[in-house]
Amino acid sequence: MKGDVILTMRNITKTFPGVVALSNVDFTLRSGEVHALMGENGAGKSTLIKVLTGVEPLDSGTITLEGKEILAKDPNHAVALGISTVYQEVNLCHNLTVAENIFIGRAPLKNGFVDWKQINKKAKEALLKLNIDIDVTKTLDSYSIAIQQMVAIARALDVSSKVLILDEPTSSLDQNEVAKLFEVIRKLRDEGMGIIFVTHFLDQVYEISDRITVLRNGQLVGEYEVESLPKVQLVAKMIGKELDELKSFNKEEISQRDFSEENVIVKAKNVETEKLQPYSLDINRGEVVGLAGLLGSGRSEIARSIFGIDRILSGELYINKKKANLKNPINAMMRGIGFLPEDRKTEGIIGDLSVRENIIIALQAKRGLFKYLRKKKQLQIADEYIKKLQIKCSSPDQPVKNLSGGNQQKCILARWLITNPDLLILDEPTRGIDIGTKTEIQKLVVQLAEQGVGVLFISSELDEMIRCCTRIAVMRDGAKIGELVGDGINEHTIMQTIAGGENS
Amino acid sequence: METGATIRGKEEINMENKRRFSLSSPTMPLVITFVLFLALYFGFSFRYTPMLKPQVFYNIFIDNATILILAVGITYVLLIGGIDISVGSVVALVCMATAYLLEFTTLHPVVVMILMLIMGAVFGLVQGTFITYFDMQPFIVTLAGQYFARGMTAVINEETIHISNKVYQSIARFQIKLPGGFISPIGLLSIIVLIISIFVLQYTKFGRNIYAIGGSETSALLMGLPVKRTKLAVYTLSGFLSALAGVTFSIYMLSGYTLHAMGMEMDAIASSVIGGTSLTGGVGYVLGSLFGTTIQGTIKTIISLDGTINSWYTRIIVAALLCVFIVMQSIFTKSKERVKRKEKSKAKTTN
Amino acid sequence: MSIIRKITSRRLFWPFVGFFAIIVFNIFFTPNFLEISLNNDGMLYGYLVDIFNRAAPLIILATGMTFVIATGGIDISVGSLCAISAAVACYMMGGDFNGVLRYPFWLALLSAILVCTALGLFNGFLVTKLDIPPVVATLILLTAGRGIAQLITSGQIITVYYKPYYYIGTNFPGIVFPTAFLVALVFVVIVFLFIKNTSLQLFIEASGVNRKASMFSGIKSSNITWLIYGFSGLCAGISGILLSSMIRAADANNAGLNYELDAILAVALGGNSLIGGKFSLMGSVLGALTIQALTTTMYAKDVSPAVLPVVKAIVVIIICTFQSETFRTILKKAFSRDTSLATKRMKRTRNLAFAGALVILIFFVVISVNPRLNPTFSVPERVMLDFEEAINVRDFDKLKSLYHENYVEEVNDYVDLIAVKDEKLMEMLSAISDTPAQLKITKTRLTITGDTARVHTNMKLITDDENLANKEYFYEFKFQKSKQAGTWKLVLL
Repeated sequence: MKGDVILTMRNITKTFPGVVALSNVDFTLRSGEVHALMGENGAGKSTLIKVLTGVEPLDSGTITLEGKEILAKDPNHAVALGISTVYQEVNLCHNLTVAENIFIGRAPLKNGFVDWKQINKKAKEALLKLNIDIDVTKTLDSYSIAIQQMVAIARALDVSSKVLILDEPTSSLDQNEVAKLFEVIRKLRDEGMGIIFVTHFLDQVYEISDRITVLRNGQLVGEYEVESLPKVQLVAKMIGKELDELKSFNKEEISQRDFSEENVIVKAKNVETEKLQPYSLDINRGEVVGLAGLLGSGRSEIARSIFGIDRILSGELYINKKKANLKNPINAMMRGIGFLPEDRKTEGIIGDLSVRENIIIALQAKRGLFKYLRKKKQLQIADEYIKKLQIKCSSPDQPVKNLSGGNQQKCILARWLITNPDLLILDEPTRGIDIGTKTEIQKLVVQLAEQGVGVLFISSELDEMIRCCTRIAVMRDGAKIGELVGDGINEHTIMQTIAGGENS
Repeated sequence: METGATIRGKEEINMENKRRFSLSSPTMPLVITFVLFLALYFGFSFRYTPMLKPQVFYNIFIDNATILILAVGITYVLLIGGIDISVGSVVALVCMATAYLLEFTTLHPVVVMILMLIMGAVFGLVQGTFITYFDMQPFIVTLAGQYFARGMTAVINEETIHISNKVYQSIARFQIKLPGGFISPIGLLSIIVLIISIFVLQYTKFGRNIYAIGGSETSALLMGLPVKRTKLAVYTLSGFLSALAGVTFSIYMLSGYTLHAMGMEMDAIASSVIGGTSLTGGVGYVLGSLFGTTIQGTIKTIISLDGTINSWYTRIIVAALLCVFIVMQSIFTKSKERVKRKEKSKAKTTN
Repeated sequence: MSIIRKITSRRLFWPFVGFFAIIVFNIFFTPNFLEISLNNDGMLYGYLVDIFNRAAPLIILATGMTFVIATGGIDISVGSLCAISAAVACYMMGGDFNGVLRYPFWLALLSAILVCTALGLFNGFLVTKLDIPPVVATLILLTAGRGIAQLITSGQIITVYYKPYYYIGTNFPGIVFPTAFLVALVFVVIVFLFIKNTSLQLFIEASGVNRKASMFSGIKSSNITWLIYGFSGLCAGISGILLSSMIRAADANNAGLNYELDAILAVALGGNSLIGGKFSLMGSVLGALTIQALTTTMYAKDVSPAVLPVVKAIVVIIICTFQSETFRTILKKAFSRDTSLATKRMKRTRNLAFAGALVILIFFVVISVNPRLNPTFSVPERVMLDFEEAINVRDFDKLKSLYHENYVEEVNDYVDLIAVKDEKLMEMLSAISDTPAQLKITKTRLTITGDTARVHTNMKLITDDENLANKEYFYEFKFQKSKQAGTWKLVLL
């Protein structure tokens, strides 16, 4: 019956070495509803899905489907149970035809051989059920991502699903395509399917879902009905106030500093990249500029455009008053910029190399091939910063992959501090790090500003941004939508700006 | 709430897509290779008129039967995204082992052939195990396999062993009449292997799984396909077909020799790649390997008819063709990615 | 305890152990192994010298391969590049009998090296700018390389008579050390000093371990990788010259044949991961020495050289298996107290499959190495005859052109060219058998390298004596071109 509970997850706990991904999380899905699952990075929503679909085993908790307790052993088992997933990265084979993608692994056979006529016929029918009429004999990559997603959905549905999970389905779609996707979703919902919609796009959540579940730091914040939860409150629940264990400190000094034209380090004028709408931003010496916004709003992309990783399509970028045409990171580095990336595991640490080597590597890259820092000098520098930042390691020659997350982060911080940057970009510097280290890093940021270094600070935690930043630029959906200074830097205003002006 | 209008996919395919589609459709390389072959053959037949004699044409199939079977075998491996450079040495090993067994033991020739096929399959199975279950890189494993097989060939006997067995000799001399000439049994065998493979790859679950895994291994896994089993089977099949090629080569050369089939794996890979098989997997038709082989055979024929050009030019020309096709494949893939990224950015700006 | 741990955990420990194990084995089981003396040309001579000398080209090649593999790639074209290098050098020097050069000596050598470096850069271009997988990119030159070398030498084996070229292959007058050894020594020292005094090792290792993080730290990984492939070409260029100078000729077919696996094996034996990342240059040098020590040992022990590639292949597989993460995880699971049944069952099947495959492998090795073990195979006893008298070759050039076809099949052709003294044959026959008998030549194999020709002929005895008739006789002798053009002198084996 529509409206009946079809899926329950109770007390789900899952830990990975060193981090608790989920802690006693509950989730309920009813038939005939679109249920949005929201949370920032590290909140646990992808882990929850993985546990449900058998990609990861759970530590404890129960899952019931239509009243019966289930536990998916692997993705195929989950599909057999009736839980299908359509991933953000369309997990189909681009070299096969549309029809084949829908049926591979379960192809209708005639005398033991693949029956192409049947495949094509049935595929066409399956897509027509979703109101899609295309030539199913063409290869998948002849079609846009939007159509490819529909094909993925058709495949999922063909195995008679009870629960359909859509994991960030709209990230690569334009407005029209999103509208068409939502038509399909509504159709399925009306037919009684339970749909879990994982996304970070606020507006879309309000457009299509019936209920929202919010996770934060591996814990359940709550389950709400969309109609009774205003946007600002939703934003608050996702990134709002945490337990304040940290001391606050004096920000008066910072706000009294002079930020005239002389002190501009980086000036971006209508800079546009592949993923960013044209933006303008000034960063001055001694200033800590924060970038606030939800996941996917383009904060990291701004950092990448200033550091020479992403190509600038139009607009101008000035570094220390000289026009910059950055082709790669070393160009930006030579101009005095440093960058601590968001994903330290894949973009930050060079795992097999030692702590010492990880610390000096950016400096060495700046010096080039021939001005080699001898091992003795390397050790000297490394020791200095190990002490300064209190990096816990058994020796400077220990492989950096063996350090804890917080200490790894400190290594990368040290890497850039040594280069004496004029501007230091920090992308989520305190993510996944213990409270103690968090405080240290925040203090360091303020210290750097006092010494005249400019800092671009990206974080999902409003608390620390408010504590450290003197100015905050707010991002939404790839565009900079505003700047806040002085009194405007408080949680309420920030969240309101992100949410888009709806009063609570 | 249902809308009356259905979503027509044709709207999605704008002009840009149409152009892109026709250039990078998987059948296009096949067509290119076929046209190249015809152009080459009939183009040069003006200069070397014997080429218009049917028997000269049939000879291409007789002389290159071994390479064709190898090319078919290696197409399977390339389709699944792997590589096997041991195939030439397996041919040599089979020839030497066959010659040895025929000349120095009393085993029946058919028994010998079956033994060889089993040996080839086992060889492929072992290589496949290392690649699939221990996640080792295919080229290292098969490179070691190549050395192993070559080494074993010399270990069996360092000298040439001539096959005097009557059965083998009669097969070698047998002629199947065709209009204007004849074809040998091994030529026919290679065509049969080709036709069976076309069928397997197009109409069996196994074949389609190969394409899927070659297209995207992670997707195939998520779609529930038996990835490890299929990969293992493909390498085993490659070993089996290499042994079969070895049997045909032993009939063709009637001898076992340590230097047989030197570099034949390159010929096989070249045939397959020129025939449209992508080196990254998932794209290609086994029929293309036929045209790739016939192109090689044509080049050899032209060179031998000319008489003044040296035979090692064949390898150079084939390598040059290989280079061109590899570079073309890479450029096409990159331009496809660029279009995809443009699409994604278009999505961003309208959001 | 901790001192032992400290020693065994040093990077170079196991490579050292490997090398010294073979040396120690030889000290015990090979007479005069450690003996070093001076030969007629004033060069150091002996097993140990032989190892270091013959390892020289491989050491140089392994250096280049180490860097390439460290960046996460591979270069399987190096063997063919060696052939091209030899071809270019010898072509430019020319095969004039009196040693007159076509081009200056230094130019010939430099051109060879430059050509190979350029080809290496070509490989690098394909890999870094066109994103072609390294195996595929280097496959092209592997296929075309020998053909190109043949093109340069016009299909002939160019023998060089220019004295200094001999000296590279052996030793310069007055210097006791073999030149190749010196070249390798100097080369390794230069490269070693370079990487110790620049940040090259750091940049390469970083690029190999985490390309993205390296790029974000300002390292231009693409450019480094491109140059590394060029360097690999350079190494192949130098190696090719050393190899060809040892036989004083450019043999496009055989120069550097199968050398790429040797180079890869040297890198692996040196403790370097074949997937890339951290590397040790000295490890690869040790690895190369170990391989050469193994080869020399086998020759000293009269083991057929054919077995060598088989042994190398097995060693590579074993090392790679132990380097594979998956395998190590399986091992860990096998020795851990794992209570999960499913894993145990899978483990068991896998172990069975592995063991089964290993058994089959061993079976093949055993029956090939020792056919006598297998009762169904009957191998005729092979007897070698002694043949001391001089043999004349009437037409060396005709002989050589026959060799161009790669194989002299027709016994008659060759018998025409080589006059065998009948009385000698009769003498030999009467020594073997009392009853009247006839020697029938069954097959012949002729190998010409440089100015040395080897003839290996099999014969059967046609006689009533069954005992003798079942045996297969062969003789083998070597010719060497003497100073007077056209005549050949027999050299005893």
